[in-house]
Amino acid sequence: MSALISAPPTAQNGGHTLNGGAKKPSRLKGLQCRECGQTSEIAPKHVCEMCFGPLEVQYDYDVIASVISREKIERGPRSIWRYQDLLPVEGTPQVDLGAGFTPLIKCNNLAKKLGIKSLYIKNDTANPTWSFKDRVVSTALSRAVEFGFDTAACASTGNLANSVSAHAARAGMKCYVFIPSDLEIGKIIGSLIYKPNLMAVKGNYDEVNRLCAEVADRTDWAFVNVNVRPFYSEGSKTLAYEVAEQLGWQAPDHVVIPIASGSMLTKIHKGFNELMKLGLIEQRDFRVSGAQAQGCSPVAQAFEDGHDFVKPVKPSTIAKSLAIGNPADGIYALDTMRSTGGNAAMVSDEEVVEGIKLLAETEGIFTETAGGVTIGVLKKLAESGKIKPDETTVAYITGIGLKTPEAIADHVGAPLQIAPNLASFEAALGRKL
Amino acid sequence: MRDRLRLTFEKDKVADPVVCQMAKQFDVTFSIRRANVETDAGWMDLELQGDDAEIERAIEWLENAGVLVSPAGGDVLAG
Ligand SMILES: Cc1ncc(COP(=O)(O)O)c(C=O)c1O
Ligand SMILES: [Zn+2]
Repeated sequence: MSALISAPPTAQNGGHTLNGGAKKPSRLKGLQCRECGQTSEIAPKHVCEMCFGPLEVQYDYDVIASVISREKIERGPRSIWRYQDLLPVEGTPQVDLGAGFTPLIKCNNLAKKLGIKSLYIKNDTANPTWSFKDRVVSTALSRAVEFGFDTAACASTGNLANSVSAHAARAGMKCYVFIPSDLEIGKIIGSLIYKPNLMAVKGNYDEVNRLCAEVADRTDWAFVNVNVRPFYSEGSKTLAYEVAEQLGWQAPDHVVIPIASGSMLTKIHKGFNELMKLGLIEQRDFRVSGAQAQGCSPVAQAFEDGHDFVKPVKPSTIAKSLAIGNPADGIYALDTMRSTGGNAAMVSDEEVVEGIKLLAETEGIFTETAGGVTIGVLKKLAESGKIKPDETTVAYITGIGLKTPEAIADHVGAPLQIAPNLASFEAALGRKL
Repeated sequence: MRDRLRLTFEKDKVADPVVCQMAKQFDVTFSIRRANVETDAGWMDLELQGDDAEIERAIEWLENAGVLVSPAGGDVLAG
């Protein structure tokens, strides 16, 4: 087991095997529509031609069961690729910066504050570009290279843009990234440094969406969350696999997850269920709860209203990484929370700031606004008894605070200014040394 | 040109035959792929075909008629 990330092997030395060489039965059966069940071949497409429902990768779990084991996983790389048997990439992963295998931290200080007993934070700020998006992008682009794409693209409010830019640079792919023009500077620089073609679109989020849908339709690029979305979203399952492994091969009782498109939430649920199906962890019930910001809470609102569809909204919140008004997987996230006995809740921008500060002050973890949403909701659910005190709970912190300092700059005080002498320090300290 | 759209209807619009009216007024054809209309709200995924400008006008008309129009399959923009 090593943290070394080698350069991807080339086709000449046998790395680029697409189903190639040995005649192993494939783990991948094809794509299936989540709505009408129609199946099709593995291909870079994301919507069902019949009903416009989203396509999902279908696996042959008997084949997977015959090759996977806890021991094999534990011998694998310290990255998402230790779980490759459960990911839709067939050859050696071609696009790898070492995403995943981030710390799971027992948080007794925060737990005590919230009145619960057993709390863990999955600290996914510890990724190559400091958000969980590295998991989905490494998966999507590794698959995209297998499909033969030479260009990566996305439309993003920041984290996905950073991750696609970095992974494309690493893979030597051309890269086109679209962002709304009002993003935080940290997220703009965090893309530019990798030298993508970065387009800041002057328009509202609806206009950005419309433009990017048209571009995706007219190009033969791997748009990570469009035509290769079925492969992209599977990468989030590793957030469940790692937590199970880090808890000593078991599922927690309750997970709290931020929602933008709703993809990560549904895939974490899927991840734990797959491990149970394969006998890698014991079968048990666990609850899935979702977190949104009040200024963009279409899923949490539908949960509250008891609707079984999600009404699109116009986002207005400091949590820009969760500001997706028309979430592609919103209804599936809703289903998951309801069917597991979980909850959805939303917090105000003030509570987002409080959440960021609370996590930093109690546990030493500096998260961005999305993490503030998660901690704010965790607090709400704990205080209202919706997280039971003795449930082992895992909250997913998915992005780093250094990308969104604007959000908290006015809420963290200022350093004490002192002169370069002891007297001045003692005056500030309020006592003699 | 074709456009895949989700129309969302509030309670007071659920019973209105807006899609039919749209097809009569504009030179576009539509096919409904999936829908779920309840008494207090509903949605419909449809594909519109026609030339760009005509589709634009049809969408604008739907919005003015109080229907929420968004891309089917959700936002392309991600976090
Ligand atoms: C930091 C962070 N957390 C969570 C999410 C939610 O992701 P999803 O679209 O899978 O719900 C995003 C991006 O969308 C994000 O940037
Ligand atoms: Zn279908």
